[in-house]
Amino acid sequence: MTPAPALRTLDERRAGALEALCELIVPGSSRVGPVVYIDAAIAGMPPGMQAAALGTIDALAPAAEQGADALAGQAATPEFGFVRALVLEAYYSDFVAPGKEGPGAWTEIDFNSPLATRLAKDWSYMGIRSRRLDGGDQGAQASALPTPERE
Amino acid sequence: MKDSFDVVVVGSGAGGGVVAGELAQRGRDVLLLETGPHLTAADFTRWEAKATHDMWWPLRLAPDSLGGMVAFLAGRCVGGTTTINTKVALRAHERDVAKWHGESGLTTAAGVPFTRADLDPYYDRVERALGVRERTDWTKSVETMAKGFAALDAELEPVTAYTDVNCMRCGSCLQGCPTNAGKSTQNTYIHEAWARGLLDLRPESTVERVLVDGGEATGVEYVDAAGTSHTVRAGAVVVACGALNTPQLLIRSGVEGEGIGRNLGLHPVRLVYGLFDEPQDAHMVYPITAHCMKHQHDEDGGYVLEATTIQDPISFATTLCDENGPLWGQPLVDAVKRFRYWNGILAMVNDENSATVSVGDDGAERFDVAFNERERKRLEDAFAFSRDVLLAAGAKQVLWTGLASTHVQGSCRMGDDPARSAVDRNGEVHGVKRLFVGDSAVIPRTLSVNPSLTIMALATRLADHLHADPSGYLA
Repeated sequence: MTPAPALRTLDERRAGALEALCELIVPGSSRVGPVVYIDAAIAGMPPGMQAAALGTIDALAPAAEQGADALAGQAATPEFGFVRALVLEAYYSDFVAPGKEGPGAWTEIDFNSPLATRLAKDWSYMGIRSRRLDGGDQGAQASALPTPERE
Repeated sequence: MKDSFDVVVVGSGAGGGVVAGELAQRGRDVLLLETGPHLTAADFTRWEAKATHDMWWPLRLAPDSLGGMVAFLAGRCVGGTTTINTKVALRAHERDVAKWHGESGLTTAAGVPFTRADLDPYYDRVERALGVRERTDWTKSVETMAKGFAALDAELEPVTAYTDVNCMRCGSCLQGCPTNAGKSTQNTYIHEAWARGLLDLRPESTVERVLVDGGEATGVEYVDAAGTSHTVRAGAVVVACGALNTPQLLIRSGVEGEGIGRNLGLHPVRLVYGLFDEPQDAHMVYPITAHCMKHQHDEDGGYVLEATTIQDPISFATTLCDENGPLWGQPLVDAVKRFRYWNGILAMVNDENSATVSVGDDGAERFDVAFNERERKRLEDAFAFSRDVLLAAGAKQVLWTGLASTHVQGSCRMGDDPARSAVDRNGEVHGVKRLFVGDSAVIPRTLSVNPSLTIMALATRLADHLHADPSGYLA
């Protein structure tokens, strides 16, 4: 089993809150490790946006702890919209983190384009080193790649 | 590195790519600067997340005055949006072009109101260059939708498109065409000149300002991928960064004018999706194969519907809404699990150029959008008709997206009246010689159809003007 990668922007508390948010926004998503993807996405943001992104997680953490009904009260807020977009990008990108067995979202939704199913995804553009493993596992291994800037 | 040219063109999309290619083919010494990367068909895959990262502008949003947001979508790569669009090639309707004179006083060199006939020779040339053809090769998802239109006494007709016979209908258009069947300015105008050494193309080069001295443009300053600044001089500068960016570059360069940044048209779109009992596989199509023009003109409703289309998984999931707002939780998962069973309509609505682009004191870009009552009515009617079509076609559930704009036009419109326009009939900025705008920003009033063919026609016209060089700028 590939070990879980070290996170670059999220401490343990925030990672736990984000995982809970992921499960509420996309039930079942924790099987692919979306927190690893979102951590990399935040690491690639300019500093000001990074702080804002971490702030949105903090703002939603109490509701996430209480469950779906509490989070529903936040559904119209910009913070929820921001985190929702990150979670959906992480999951529906077909990302599967190291140590996670998947399957990825594309299998779940039968996104079966031949061009899509032939892909060996290399996540290094996000600062995540990918490697294709035996058995079709497209797991990714975190690395010390330079962090790409995203405007 | 060479630092002096006849013409420097900023931006390589539908406008800049055509101007640069046309002039280079005729022997003019042209530099084409593009802020995005130079990727080709060999780089293009069906991988939404990476394509969005590599080839699209980072998502820009503006409050829409209706309580939602408008998302601005555009390409940022060599070829601009033409590299990642659906290649629909429609001439502007003569009634749309007829509005231009009223909006900005636009006339021809003969002093008579500008009409569609003034564009037709340029449309002819662009269509030949791109190999425009009709798409009658409908898939099941289009046939499904045609039944819905017919049930409502409307007709779904084939579109014309700049896609050749190598199109696999694989649905990858928005990530770049992997077979080069989809024509862009990159694999036509630009590559034909660049591959023969006729055009100096510098990707990943971001122009920071146009140099203006004594009321004349003299060149540009740009920063390359390594962060190094460069100055280049030119006899004429063509700004063609798209209707959101072009006015910003002019403003940041100290160019002033009543029309700069005003009269932005969005041609707003909404996707409306229907869930069917049978798989539709709307992700495996030429994504805009047909359209319904019954309501094209304002007096007939003011909207055009295109079919069929469905976004790839991230965009599909992220934008799904129902009457309670964006979906999340189990309803979202259940909806997206049926990905292959959804079929979609793209509803494009006529607008009246009521938005603006500006640059704040802090240097940040700003977009102000406030739809008027007529525009709101068209948005509502387009949505209602789309939903009715889907239900008539057999859909069991209907979901939709918020508003987006992929057809921004008109933020530096062309006209004879400097109080109502930013550039003259030849695209030259009022009050600044040798400085031209060569993209969708010059369109005086938003079209009711996809604008890329018209942008290319106007760019061809500009290239002719620059090459003729009546003011001796390139001498």
